[in-house]
Amino acid sequence: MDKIVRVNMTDKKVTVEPVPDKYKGKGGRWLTSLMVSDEVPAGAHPLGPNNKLFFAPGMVTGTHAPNSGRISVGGKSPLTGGIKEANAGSPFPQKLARMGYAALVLEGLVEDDKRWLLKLGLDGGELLPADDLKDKGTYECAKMLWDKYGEKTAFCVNGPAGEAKMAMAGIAFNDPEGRPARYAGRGGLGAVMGSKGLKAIVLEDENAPAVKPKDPEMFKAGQKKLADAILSHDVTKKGGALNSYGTAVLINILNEAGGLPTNNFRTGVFDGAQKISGEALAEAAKTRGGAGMMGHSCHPGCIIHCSNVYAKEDGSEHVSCVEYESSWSLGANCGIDNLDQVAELIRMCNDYGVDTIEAGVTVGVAMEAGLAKFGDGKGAIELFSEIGKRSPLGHILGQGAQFTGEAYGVTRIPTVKRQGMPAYEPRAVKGIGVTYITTPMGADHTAGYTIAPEILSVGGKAEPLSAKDKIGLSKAFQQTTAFIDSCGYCLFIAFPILDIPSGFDGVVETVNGMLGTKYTGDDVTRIGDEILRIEKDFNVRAGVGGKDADRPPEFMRYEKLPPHNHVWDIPDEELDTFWDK
Amino acid sequence: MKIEVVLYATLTRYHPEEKGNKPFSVELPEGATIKELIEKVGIQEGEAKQVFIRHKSRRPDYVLEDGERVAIFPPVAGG
Ligand code: SF4
Repeated sequence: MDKIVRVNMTDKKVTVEPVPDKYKGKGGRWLTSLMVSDEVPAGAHPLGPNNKLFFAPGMVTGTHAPNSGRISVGGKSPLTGGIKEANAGSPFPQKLARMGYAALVLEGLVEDDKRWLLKLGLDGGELLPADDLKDKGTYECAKMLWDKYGEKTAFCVNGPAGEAKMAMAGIAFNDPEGRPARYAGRGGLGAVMGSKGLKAIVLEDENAPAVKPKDPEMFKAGQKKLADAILSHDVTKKGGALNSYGTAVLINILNEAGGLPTNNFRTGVFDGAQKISGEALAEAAKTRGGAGMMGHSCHPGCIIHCSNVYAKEDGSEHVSCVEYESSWSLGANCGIDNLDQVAELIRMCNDYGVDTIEAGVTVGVAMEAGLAKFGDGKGAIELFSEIGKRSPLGHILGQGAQFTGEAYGVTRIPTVKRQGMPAYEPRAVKGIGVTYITTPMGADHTAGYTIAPEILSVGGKAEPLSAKDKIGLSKAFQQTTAFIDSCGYCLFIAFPILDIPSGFDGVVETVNGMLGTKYTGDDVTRIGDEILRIEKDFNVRAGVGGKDADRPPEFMRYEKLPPHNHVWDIPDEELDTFWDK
Repeated sequence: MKIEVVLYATLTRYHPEEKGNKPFSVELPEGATIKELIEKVGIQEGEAKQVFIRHKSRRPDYVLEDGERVAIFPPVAGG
């Protein structure tokens, strides 16, 4: 990975340059956050000519290291106004890495309302007119792309929501079967892509060489340690929870713990939880047969297989994938306990090209505003279709939960830095609340997944309801995560490597083997911390990094959450210590 | 005393009537603990990772009370 490709949408030029020294040996989130910080003026309008969009495979992506096919996408977020990194697992970054690209940079702005497609090959690329894809849903686009360029290509595509510059728009990457279903979802980066008139990127990687580690033996040893840890840990092994039930296996346990946000964060228990759980998905896959399956994977080389395909009653494919977050956001959070309706909402999100978390939190807030009734799946589908119609209401909803709540005078808006909260109630699980509040990303569970010790008893044990010692816990998780996001590893390797030390060593060894570095376990924390501070610094310059930005939504301070009847009780002064050295 | 049990994920295979997540009741002597309940249901050693009663995670030596509802999980994770 020694090249950077720059795509300038103003003059339609595609240029390839060598990776400057400063960026050598960096990948994924490390690289995108560094480049955003270096190249995007903090005051830039997210949809204006000075914002840029960066795509970077991880440091070990493209190799045979298990679960390493992730891509980071970075830029200034139209949703939060701060820095953003969203990542997805797909064959796309594996090909991009093998083609030798450390990063793809999208810059400039189109002057007209035309759409473009970037066709990228080993030696550079060209921008082709793509008005035939204009305003089309991602499913139709995906089919057109594979029909035209062949099923060996990888692609990413922007949906109609991104073209309409909606702040909940994500960017869809293909899964191994060509579904536009793997999302760099959060923070509205699809709107940035839309503002630049780029509808899709197609990678033609024929004859791309294998990625060669600098020290193949060290790399191999690390790869084996990591694979052994993944395949022996109870949650990631074959027949384990993730493989058998998908991520939605969490629905029931969060519900039992009283931390499953329900009806727009009014309570932590949902009566219909079992009906939208991983167990229900597995049951449907079994009884309906046909296209439905558990144990699907988002890219070749994944050895966990947490993804799934959900089938309709007649066995025909409905959608992939019903994740925990999506089943919660469009299910429990809206009071909807009908899996077919939830699946339909997820399919609509994928087709419009929006983040399912922001979508569900927005519908929850809209229900709060009286635009539909909690529990009314049909009403939710009807309401959500306004986004597809691009009606004025659709444009309001498309801007996300905060904007929608403000438009309708709602006070219970579960966001931090204007980004919708994911599927864990901060009043019932305090550490994850610290992560939501302090991460430079806006409310984001993946930034520092303290749920592992707080709820799952993985990587130690912490009392979820206690306000004590949660700053340090979240910080440690955030640092390690920033490093994992830079490697290109799927975050779910965290479960085995938290419990099995040799698995953690394996991660470090694959990176060292790949790059010829001598990183130790301490460097993981140090580099992770460095990445967080680059991001925080950008936010401070952009005006969303001050102390006022690192605060919970006010209603959580005074509204007690059943069943534990806790409020958010970590003092602000304590939150402010997060960035102390 | 009577305890209501709910099994989740891979543990559903221990349901006496193979009814997945459906709650069922178990008869136990007064003063029985979670550990004893798990043995009675027939779950193999080490397979039950988390037990929730009234929305709180409980330890194996927790002494059960008549009528309590007990949710038992194997190791699970996600995101
Ligand atoms: S575990 Fe899931 S998210 Fe991770 S690489 Fe595999 S399929 Fe993708």
